[in-house]
Formats: sequence, C-alpha cells, structure tokens
Amino acid sequence: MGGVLLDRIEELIGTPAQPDEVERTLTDGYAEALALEAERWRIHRRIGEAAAELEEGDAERVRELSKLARQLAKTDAQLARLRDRLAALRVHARDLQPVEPAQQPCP
Amino acid sequence: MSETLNTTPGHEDGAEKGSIRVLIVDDHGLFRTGLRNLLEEQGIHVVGEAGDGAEALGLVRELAPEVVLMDLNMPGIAGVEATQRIAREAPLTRVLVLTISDDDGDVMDAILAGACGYLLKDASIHELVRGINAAAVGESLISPQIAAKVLQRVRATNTVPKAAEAIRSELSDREVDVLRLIANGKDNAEIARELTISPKTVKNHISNILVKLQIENRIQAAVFAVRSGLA
Repeated sequence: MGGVLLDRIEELIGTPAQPDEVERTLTDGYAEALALEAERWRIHRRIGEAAAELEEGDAERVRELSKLARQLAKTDAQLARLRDRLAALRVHARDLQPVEPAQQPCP
Repeated sequence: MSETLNTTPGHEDGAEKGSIRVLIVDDHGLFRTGLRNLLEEQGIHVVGEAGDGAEALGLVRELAPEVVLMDLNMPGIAGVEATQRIAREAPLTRVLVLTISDDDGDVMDAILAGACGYLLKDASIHELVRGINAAAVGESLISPQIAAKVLQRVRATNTVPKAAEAIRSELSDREVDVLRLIANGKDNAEIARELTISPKTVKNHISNILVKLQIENRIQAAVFAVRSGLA
C-alpha cells in the first residue's frame, strides 16, 4: 500500500485542509481499499486452489501456502490500517463542514 | 470501457455468475477500476464504466444495464441530474448511489431524483453486493439511519394536500395501510405480520401503490406518505 497515501491522510487530519482536498484523498483511499480487498479475494482463492492440489510430501505447495498465508495477513493488516485512517479522515471532514445557523423564530 | 464477463468463484450474498449487469459511474478512474475488479471477483457483470453523467446517459441507452452505481459529485452532468434523467429515460434501470457524502441534502436530492439506494464509499463489499442485488429486483437499500434522516426532513416541511388527495382517490384501504407501515419504516415481513397477510401479498400491494402513485420505489412511497400527512 502506498505510504504516500497514508502520509497524505495524516497530514490532512492534522491541518485545517480544504474540503475538496479531503474529498479527493478519501476517494483515493477508497480506491486503494478496493484494490486491497480484490487482492484479498485473489489470495483467498489461490489458497483454496493450492490446498485442494496439496498432496503428502509436496514441499513446494506447502511453501506456496505458507507464502500466501503471509501475504494474506499483510494485506489484511494494510486494509485494516487504511480503513482506520480513512474513518479518522471522514470524522475530520465532518468537522470541516460549515455549521448551519440555528433556526430563529419568525419575528 | 469494454464489456467483460468474469465467472470467478467466491460470490457473496447470492450474486450469481453474470446475473446482474452493472454500469459504474464515477469520475475517479482508480476507484472505477478497483470497484470493477472487486465486483467481477464476486461474479457481477460490469458492462461498462463512465466518468461523468453525460457519458453515463449514453451508456445506459447503449448497454441497458440493470443497475447503475452512481457517484454524485462529478464534473458536467452530476449524479443527481443523471439519476433523474435515467429514471425518466430508462425506468427499468435502477440507480444505486455510491458516494462519500452522507450530507442530508445530498441523500434527499438523490432519493427524490429516483435513486433506489444510497451507499457510502466506505461500505464493505458485502454491503455493496447486497445493495446491487436489492436494486436489481427493484428494492431499496438505504440504511435505516439514512431513511430516518430523509423522513425526518420531509416531516419538517409542510404537508402537501394534493398528495393526500391522490392517496385517497387512488389507493384501496388495504394499500393505504401498507403505505402507512412503509412510512413507519417497516419491512415487508413486518408489514405482513402486522396485517396478517403473506409477504407476497405485501409485495403485490407495494407494486400497485408504486404504479398508482407513479413513483419508483419504496423510499419515495414513504416520502409521499409523509408529505400527505398519512404518517
């Protein structure tokens, strides 16, 4: 996952940024989250296939499964971290929205 | 923007291989690509992509998708106007809004323009697939919080006597009962239980209500009922 994106999110959370910039970054972040989710599905599918092909003593397949499991854990962690920071940026974006004036009774 | 059919395993929430034809409308290219890949992983048939409302209208005419996933904030023809025009020109195509905005005004505008569902871009893939499935069969998928917001906003405005008149003259007593329960946020199963009728009968009543009141979906029916003072 792009560290640049996470850095940008942290920077925006820490400053009174422009709403347009926040919106653009949120969308970039959701795009990245979708890519990570798709990657999770691909790894899941490959794990299923590799497990189905596994035969006793098949060291190569075992190594592949182990590698896939590590990739899955890494992708899960990246996705969780990204979603967490995007949620924080969303909260920040709400704070940036102008507050509507309270309704006054008609004179 | 080519047409593809991906039949991979791992479908979620009953999405069947190539069963629902979807058009993605969003001005963010990477988001479109990510969404397309993920939906195709789930066996959903993405028939095309558009980067703005004008392109979306052309592709709806050309490809006749069952569901359009529509962003709101786009250059040129934005999401609300595109939704309105799709609802008018291609009533069999359902629009499911997918946006980063949870602003009350945006939700309201989208629903009243004819969107049959409203999801935020941070929705999980499970919610997205459920939303697409619901939209494809003409049901609304709007989170209860968002539906409550919409109805609360409608309640704050004055009632419209014309709406009340239309309900009285067009609907049977039973249909009015069903409409009132829809506006109180009940789902089909709850309405069936409350009126001691089958869910299928509820569905038929709802179809009749939509046709008679010339509206497109259940959330619009709820808005109509609230505006009329019925609920």
